[in-house]
Amino acid sequence: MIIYFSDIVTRMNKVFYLFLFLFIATACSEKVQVPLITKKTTKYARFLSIRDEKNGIYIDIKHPDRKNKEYKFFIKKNSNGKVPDDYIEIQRNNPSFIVFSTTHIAMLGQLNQLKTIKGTCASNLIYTKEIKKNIEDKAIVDFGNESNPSLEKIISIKPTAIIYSGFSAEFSKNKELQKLGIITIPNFDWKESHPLGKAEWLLFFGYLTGTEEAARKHLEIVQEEYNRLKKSVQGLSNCPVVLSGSKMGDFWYAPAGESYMAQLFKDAGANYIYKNTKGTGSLAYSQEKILVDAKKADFWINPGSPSYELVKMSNPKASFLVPFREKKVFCYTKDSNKYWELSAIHPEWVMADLIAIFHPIELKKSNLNFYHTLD
Amino acid sequence: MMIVHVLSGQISLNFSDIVSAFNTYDATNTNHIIFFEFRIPRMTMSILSGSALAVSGMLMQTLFNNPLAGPYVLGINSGASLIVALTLLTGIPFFATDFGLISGALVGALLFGSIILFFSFYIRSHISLLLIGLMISSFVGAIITTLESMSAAEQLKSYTFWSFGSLQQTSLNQLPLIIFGCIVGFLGSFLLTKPLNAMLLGETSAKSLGIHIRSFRIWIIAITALLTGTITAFCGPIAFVGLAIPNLTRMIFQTQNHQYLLLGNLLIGGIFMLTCDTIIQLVEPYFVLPINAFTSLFGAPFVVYIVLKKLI
Repeated sequence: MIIYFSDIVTRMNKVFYLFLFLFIATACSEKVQVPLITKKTTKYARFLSIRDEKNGIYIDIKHPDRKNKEYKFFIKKNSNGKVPDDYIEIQRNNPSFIVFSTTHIAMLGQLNQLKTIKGTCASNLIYTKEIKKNIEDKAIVDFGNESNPSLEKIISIKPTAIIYSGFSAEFSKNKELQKLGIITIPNFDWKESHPLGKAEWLLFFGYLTGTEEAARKHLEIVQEEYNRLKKSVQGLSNCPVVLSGSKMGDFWYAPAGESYMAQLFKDAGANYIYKNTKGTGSLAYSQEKILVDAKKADFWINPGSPSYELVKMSNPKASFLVPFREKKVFCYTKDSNKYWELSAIHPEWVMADLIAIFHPIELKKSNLNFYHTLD
Repeated sequence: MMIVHVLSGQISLNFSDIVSAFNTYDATNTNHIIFFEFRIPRMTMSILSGSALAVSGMLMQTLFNNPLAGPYVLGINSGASLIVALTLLTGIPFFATDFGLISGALVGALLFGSIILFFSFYIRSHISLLLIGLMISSFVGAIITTLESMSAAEQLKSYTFWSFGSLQQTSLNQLPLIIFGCIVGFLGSFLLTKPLNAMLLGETSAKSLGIHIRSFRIWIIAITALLTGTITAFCGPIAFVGLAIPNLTRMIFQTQNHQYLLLGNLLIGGIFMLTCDTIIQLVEPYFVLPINAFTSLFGAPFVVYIVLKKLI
């Protein structure tokens, strides 16, 4: 077998060109690896994860009901930086938002960022006076119903992001809106079952507006106060029995044992009658069952009406419940808008109210933030 | 069936509870409260709603000579739904209460019953009246859809729950009024059995037998409006009972004589609703099943069966 030198050179050339091709191919790839080291800034929130890394801020939002469904957003720290794969970039220069929940208004208000709100919905449910005035003055657009906002109105405002509640499916036309530079971001704060987890979504708005330090400071104060209040009632021998919820249609809907309200009752040193049930949503029980289960109830929280008269009209059979007869029913309905807007960022206020109701020796009842005894 | 119904439910009651509730009612005894305040009204409403809607359906089917006619053709259900939707949209808390819903539904049922009654004074043809009733239902349905699209989530939820129908909303002290309204309707129907029988021969033959068609029609509509309006006001819209039960009664009793059909509809309508509600009570611990969904689950296949039977 004769091997010619020229054959060897030809083969070596082929190998060389192959290596050169591979080198160029990998060098031209724009893949940016997501760092493995994580500096997670959220502690209690289950559906929000924010990592503050050298190259940028990673915001991962998990869908609470759809397995493996995540929404990923990235904020560059360096204008030349690259956006990792699967992440959508959020611009922080001159942010402007359309927000579809009053809790979003409260969070932006806490960070002094109300000026970033260009649109919202259901103006009759808003508590913040400044926003209500701006809606009246037409400086902020009221989209009415969150489930069917006018897309053309959205485009005319050209916000940097739309923050929606994610009640149902994806925001309609989100891909088309993204092409116009409008990002749609679901906010699942309402699905968080821990009161401090709900409050932690303040960080999300902090990072969106560059006010994360202010958000962190507020959260530290909230967490400290919440945990202080919780500790003050731990170990108390007197745990009042609590009923919660109201009748809708033929059934009574009560918070399940792993829900937001159940967590609050537990932390406030109360014995909630359905504390041992599973789930983070509502339980649907017949009124007969409620009548039997709530025989020993000391308090009824959140009947959904502001007066005993209206409760009786909504549910004539409520008069058989012991807390109703003994006038120990409490609700936030004197100013529902205030409760729904502010309770998310001030869980310590809700805690304080509940402790004042359940353990009046510990805290004075007269300084309730949201709750009131029914008229 | 009544006994089975009263003993069924998430909280178990037995005979001794019922006997002691009658003998020595104790307002602090939970079982006594459950029996008198929950089970008795629910059982009574099951019987009354089934009977009243079945009789209304029978009247409509004879008047329009159509086995697919029912109380809904007069637009009374739609009228009640419209007023309830309008009042809920105001956002006034009173209208979201049981009392508010009953008031709104009663006003709507009476108003639209009166509208159809007014038309029946001037329109001679049954078909024209049927068409007007159906068009009113359609028109009202469109308004309700528009209102729903403008409603906030809480209002929409209240309206949706009302539209599920309910046999549990009525309290013990409301029963006498409902029973009175139904008895008036049943007695009126009984007095009209001869003209109803005559209508089976056709309008011309009925006229020749001395039946005054116009006043007969007005009475039929008034009685149907009273029965349907009362039930819709206190229970919400309940579908298919008025359509399916009269046909089922005719199949069982094998007669066209309205004296027997009336009694049959009273009996079978009441038993049917009692049975549906008993089943709902049995599954209550496991899942929520609205009465309207259950009656439609039975009624819809039955209507298909009637249509196919006519075609074959």
